[in-house]
Amino acid sequence: MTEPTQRPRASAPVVQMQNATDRRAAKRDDKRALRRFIRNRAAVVALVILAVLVLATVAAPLIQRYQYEQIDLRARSSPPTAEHWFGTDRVGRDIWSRLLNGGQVSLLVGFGATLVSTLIGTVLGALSGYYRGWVDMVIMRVTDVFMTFPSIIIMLTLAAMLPRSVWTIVFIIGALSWTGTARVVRSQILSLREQEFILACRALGYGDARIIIVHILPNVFGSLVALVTFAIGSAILTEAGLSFLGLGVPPPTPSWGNMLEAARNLDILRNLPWMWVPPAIMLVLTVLCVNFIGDGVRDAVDPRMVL
Amino acid sequence: MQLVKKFLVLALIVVLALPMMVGMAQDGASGTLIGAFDIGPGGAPGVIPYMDSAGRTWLSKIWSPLVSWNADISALEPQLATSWSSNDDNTVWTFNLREGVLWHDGEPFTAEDVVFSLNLAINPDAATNFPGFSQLSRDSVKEVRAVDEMTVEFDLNSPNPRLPYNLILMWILPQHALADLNPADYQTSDWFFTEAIGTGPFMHEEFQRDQFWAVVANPTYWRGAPKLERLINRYFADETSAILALEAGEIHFSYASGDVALGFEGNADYQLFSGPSGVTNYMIFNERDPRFADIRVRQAFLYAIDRQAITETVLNGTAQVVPCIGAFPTMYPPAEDLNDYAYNPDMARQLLAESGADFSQPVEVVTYYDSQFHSDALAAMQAFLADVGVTITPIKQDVPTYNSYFYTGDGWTISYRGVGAGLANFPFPFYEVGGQPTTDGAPLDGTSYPELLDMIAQARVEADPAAYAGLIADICRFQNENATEGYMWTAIRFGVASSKLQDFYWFPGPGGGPYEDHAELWSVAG
Amino acid sequence: MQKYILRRILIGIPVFFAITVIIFGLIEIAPGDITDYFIRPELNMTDEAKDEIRIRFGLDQPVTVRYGNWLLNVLRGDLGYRYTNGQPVGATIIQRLSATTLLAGTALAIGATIGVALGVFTALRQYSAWDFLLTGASFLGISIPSFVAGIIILFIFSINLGWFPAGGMRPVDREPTLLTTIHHLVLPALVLSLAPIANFMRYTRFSMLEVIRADYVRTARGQGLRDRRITWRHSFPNALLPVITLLGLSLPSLVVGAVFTETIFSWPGMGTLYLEAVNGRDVPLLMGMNLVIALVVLGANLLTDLAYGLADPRIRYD
Repeated sequence: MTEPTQRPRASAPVVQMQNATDRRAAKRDDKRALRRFIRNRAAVVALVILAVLVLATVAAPLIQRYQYEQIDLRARSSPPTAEHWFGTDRVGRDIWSRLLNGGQVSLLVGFGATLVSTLIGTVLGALSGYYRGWVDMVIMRVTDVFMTFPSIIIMLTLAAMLPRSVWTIVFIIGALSWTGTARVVRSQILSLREQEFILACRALGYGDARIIIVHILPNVFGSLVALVTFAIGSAILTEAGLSFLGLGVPPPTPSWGNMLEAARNLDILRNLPWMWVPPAIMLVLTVLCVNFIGDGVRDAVDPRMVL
Repeated sequence: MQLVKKFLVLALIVVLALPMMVGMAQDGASGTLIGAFDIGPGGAPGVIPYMDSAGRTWLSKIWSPLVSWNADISALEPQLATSWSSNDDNTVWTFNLREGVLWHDGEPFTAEDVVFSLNLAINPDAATNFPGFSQLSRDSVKEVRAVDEMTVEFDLNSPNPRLPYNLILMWILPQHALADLNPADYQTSDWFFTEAIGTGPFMHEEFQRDQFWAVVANPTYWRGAPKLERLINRYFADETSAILALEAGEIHFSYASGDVALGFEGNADYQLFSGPSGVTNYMIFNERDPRFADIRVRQAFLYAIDRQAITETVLNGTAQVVPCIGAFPTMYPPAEDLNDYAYNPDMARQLLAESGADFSQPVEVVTYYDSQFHSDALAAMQAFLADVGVTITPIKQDVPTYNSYFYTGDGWTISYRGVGAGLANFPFPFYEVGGQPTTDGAPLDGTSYPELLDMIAQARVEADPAAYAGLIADICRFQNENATEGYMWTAIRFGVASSKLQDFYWFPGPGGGPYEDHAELWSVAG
Repeated sequence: MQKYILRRILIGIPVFFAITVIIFGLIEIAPGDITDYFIRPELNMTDEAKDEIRIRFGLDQPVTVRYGNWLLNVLRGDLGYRYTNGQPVGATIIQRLSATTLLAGTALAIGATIGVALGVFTALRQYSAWDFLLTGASFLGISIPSFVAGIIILFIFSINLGWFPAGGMRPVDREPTLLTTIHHLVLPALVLSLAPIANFMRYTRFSMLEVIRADYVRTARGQGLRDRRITWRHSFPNALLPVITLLGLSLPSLVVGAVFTETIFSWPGMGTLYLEAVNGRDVPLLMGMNLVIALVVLGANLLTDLAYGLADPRIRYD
């Protein structure tokens, strides 16, 4: 939640898709971007690590050795052993299993919330940029409200007051982090809608919806990918932050955030580091990967920049 | 370039040199005791008298009631009153006041102050929480009058054999200083943080909201002038920060939860204080759900959960299993009268099967607890119940959310919670029809047990201490036998103090007391 | 310019209004109110006592009336009294806001100076080992959440080394001095400055690289100007321009970081106060705090815009 993972730009439009006179050109551009991305070693390594992490959490039922909620009072607070690779918590639950299942939840929140925010942002941004006029005015004022006001404040308020569940968290994070997407989509569309191929479409009498969805959005896609990647990292951190304050995913469902919350207890912080160090590392590692990938994607779709 | 490098080096030097510049000596002046008195369940930073749901350990340093708990809250201890008695039907109580007590500003303490204080505490315009917290309703008090300088009479509308217990929270405030205060401004007045005149062992010095409250020795304190020069209550965001400050030598005392406190055991630099929390943790079953109206299901829950193992292992022996709502052993009948519901999963399965109750769907267990202690306990309970085929899903809520519907009796099936259950303030309303605010006037958990209600009604007006204790034991026996709720355990609470402190005393009184801790004898060595 | 300021302020008014309505509405539909805060679940409280509290705080009136009253009082400059402890909201916020300003201001100052310095440093050494190392570290800086960094730093520098106090803002047994304040400030400010350092560094580096490649710098070099002179007289000032916007943009993330940093270091600021207010359903305090936060953020954005305009004469406000 914390720090903005996206490097802010002074001059708003992220990409100038000057060649994008038609979809084929866009496709060609995408291919070029892909090649550029593959050349970025850091981003590719990050992508591989992230893929492994996602696979591991998805395959949790196969590689976990215990059920994550299964307690064992004889093996309480056990440091890592051959039996419990990452040790156990204070009721004897296997940390390795909790880490995998917690990862599932954390990643689910990350992807889910980003899906929500991207949907909202794209729809609002497209409407705003395409129709301009009062629609644009209203939507951008609303965006202003959400942007100027630190969303954490509203998140804390909502998270404390809504029924606690994974889906609530997905909804809260998603519903409050769409402003960046909306702005980027809007500025993209503002510059695209005056281009010849769109004017041509309009002359052919295509409906607005068709023009937006079929002809405009695919061209926005490139710049969205980077944004979406950063948003995933940000959402994962937000979940962890809310959980750290005890407002996130409710236990006993593990998430990296609420596993970390245990570190607020001094005894655990000091004497049972295996309970909170692994989720902390996983959390930082995942977000690190996501940020590297996002950086790679942005550089790839933005030819102006060499990194 | 060079500039950048120079700058970086300089920044590094400044950061590393800082601690040395400031000096690491953290020890305050000798004769100053700094404690985190408002950490933990008994604390409430910056509360004022009559608004104190907790935080009374600190309030009792500045103000005193007529009567408080004794050191281990097993009996009453005279404070500003020296003795008390009632008429035969407990409708008129007479309190004899202590002679020669002076307010911090030198004025003498008299009966008028007591009359003033009670009238303020129950004044509807002041709208204090005193009637709620002390269970002394406004309507029950007909009049309070000063018979003479040093005698006060409480005239009641209905018999109350335990009025002194209700008055423990009635801090005596100075009439001469507060007579001009409009009662409607009581809660927003800053008098309590600027003047704060009381009769307690320490006098107000400085209050910094959210940081500390400092007081200095009252040379005219009636038990004798305190040995300490100053006493400071430092506020912390949470227990962990307070304990870290304790270990860093910045403070001398803090509350500590069980697991943290055990880490200090055997460490010569610290002394441990402990006592029963006075709070019973239990699962309250909503018997509007027909499954829980069946005694076999309720008993099955008790048999299924290995309470002994949980308290001994998961909770490291920082809790004790309870047979009923009572939090103190003095409230229990002899052990042979009680069913201990020892861990017996087979029995649990059998009872569940006999009852025919359907537990194929998960049951939500709502709680407002968010400490590690209760998270661990709930995780263990969940696993034990899963073993007999019952899936529970703990739902954690913040206190206002929880309260907003728990007391309607609607929208919850099981709640894991706690209730303060002391000998003198037995939580009668929990079991009385209409006593708790359910909209339809039904009891909170959906069932009333007529025998139980009879016993409670009797206990309420029973004046003879022995007979009262007998009734409390009978109530316990009944609750135990019928498994009216899923009684679990009562936690032990801890305080950790630096071993530099001499004659220091702390006890985890509910809401912080007030109890007698002889603060005038405390001192700091070295 | 004046017209621009005026317009921004005029736009700000409906934004304020929207925020107060949203927050008030949120609290209204949230379960539980101040009476539920006053009942500790482990105590018992009668219905009568609860009703009294409701009436005292005017909760028996319809929501529109309550909002109207609040708004009227705010227009009169009165933020009211806290529900939970009766203290004036305005004074509480001023006290807490100055604590947070001290913390966040220091963190931002550290972040901006060190970040910009590192940004220039790495830009001039693109693809060097230093560049690689520091750019990598900056990724860590933006990826590590402040609650993880906070716990680690607290543990190393306060618990193990004992160099700094574990929390709080001042010693309680003697008067605070500049030195004691700095002593208490170092750790939380350090934690809170990690993200700004990383952000400023990445931003400056990017901006600097762009400028270095710009035509006029090449021209300057072609004219035979010395490298250092080009860097400091031509590239740096121009590269710094976009960095100014980052000052304003950093504010929301500072607020977020402050919530966690203040929690971990017991810093008596706005972050911890907000958590208290939410937990206590302390409506006057919540509303007051949201108002002040919105004011600060909008004000900071305006200032950033103006600073940007001053630094870059090409920008026009119309």
